[in-house]
Amino acid sequence: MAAPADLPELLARVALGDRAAFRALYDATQRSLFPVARRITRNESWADEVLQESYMTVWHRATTFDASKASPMTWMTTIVRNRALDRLSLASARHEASVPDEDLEALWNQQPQDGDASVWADDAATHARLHDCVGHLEARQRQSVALCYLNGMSHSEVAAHLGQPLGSVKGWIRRAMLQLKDCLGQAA
Amino acid sequence: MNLDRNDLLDRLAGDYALGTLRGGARRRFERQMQQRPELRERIERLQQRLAPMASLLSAESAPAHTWDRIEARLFGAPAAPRRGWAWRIAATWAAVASLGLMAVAGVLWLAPEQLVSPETLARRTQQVPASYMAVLSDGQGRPTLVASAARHARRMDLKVLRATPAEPGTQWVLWGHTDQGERVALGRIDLAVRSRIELAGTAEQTLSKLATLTVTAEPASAAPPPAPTRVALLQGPCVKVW
Repeated sequence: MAAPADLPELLARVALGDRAAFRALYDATQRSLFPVARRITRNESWADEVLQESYMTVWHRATTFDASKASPMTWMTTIVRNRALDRLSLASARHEASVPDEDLEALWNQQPQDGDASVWADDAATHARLHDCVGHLEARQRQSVALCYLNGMSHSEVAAHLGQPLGSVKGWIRRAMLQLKDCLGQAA
Repeated sequence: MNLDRNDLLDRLAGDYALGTLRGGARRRFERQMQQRPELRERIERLQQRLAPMASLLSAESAPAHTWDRIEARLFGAPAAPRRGWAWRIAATWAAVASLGLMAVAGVLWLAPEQLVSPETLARRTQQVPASYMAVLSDGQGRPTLVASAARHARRMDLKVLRATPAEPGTQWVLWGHTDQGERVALGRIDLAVRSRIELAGTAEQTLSKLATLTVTAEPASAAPPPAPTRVALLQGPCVKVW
């Protein structure tokens, strides 16, 4: 495997308008960020658009990146998610695409993806903390949180997907987020 | 919405970070975040702690054209692809020729009188280059966008004077109109930052017959519609500057 890219260094150079660094940053991170957009939008073409807009935002806002507050991957992931969620607000047509029936529990138990683990290297401690906190949730809470966060589902979509009453699902998610906030907050 | 209530704030913060706060409620909450730095920091912290969840996803490459489109949208044209030895030889000669040109430019800069008479130089340097230009204003007459293109260039520069984000589900499209009522879509544009669009031909070919430029909000899609479907948000005359 190639040596891991120095993402903070690349972002610092992007902030100075270095286009070669921007290309290197794209090459190092796009494989990890494209699936974030694709799962939320469930539409290849929208995900492509979201990714384009996200990297444009990275180019324009690289000067605002603060390495003391976030890692490059968490910063860029947040940009991609916000863009994808904005795009979701535009149309309900997305839901023509079916949601893959997958084992989200297995996702929590796997290691970060081997091929791109390096881009998340700066987040190892945060990841471990998140994994630990998520492990304290009930299975249905864990599944609901994953369906929202990774698949971009709304409360009602999660309820329909799981075949559970909307009120129950809302309650699970609300309690899960409060638990997570408290648990993750202890790492501050 | 009373955002001073801590439990409500916590719930909204969780919904926002998780992505279940949508549409107008999400945008309203973002406006609150802009006005309340402590709220924004709270959300950012939560988002950062949740973000490693994305590392669980299997890596997957974006389409091959994505990078080219990012470059084209940011810088006006995709980078040239790698070429063979013949291209490299040509590039070497071009580099040598460019050095010669730079030498001439240097002389022009340091001792212009050696090559151009002072009268000609003064006349040239005080002229705006031959260009097409339009200043588009909104319904209140406020200048919002300056569009300009050198006469023989194949791209148009857009300077945003008043940032105007597109509503969700829409995109800004720049149109050209002739005096005879014909119209042509010049391209999708961004009213947030300075940008550049590629023209179908040179500015002379594309803009010489246009009397007015307008901007409309069109439904977001891969390509602009054949004709404007909305009332123009911005408009201004397109004029020759030479």
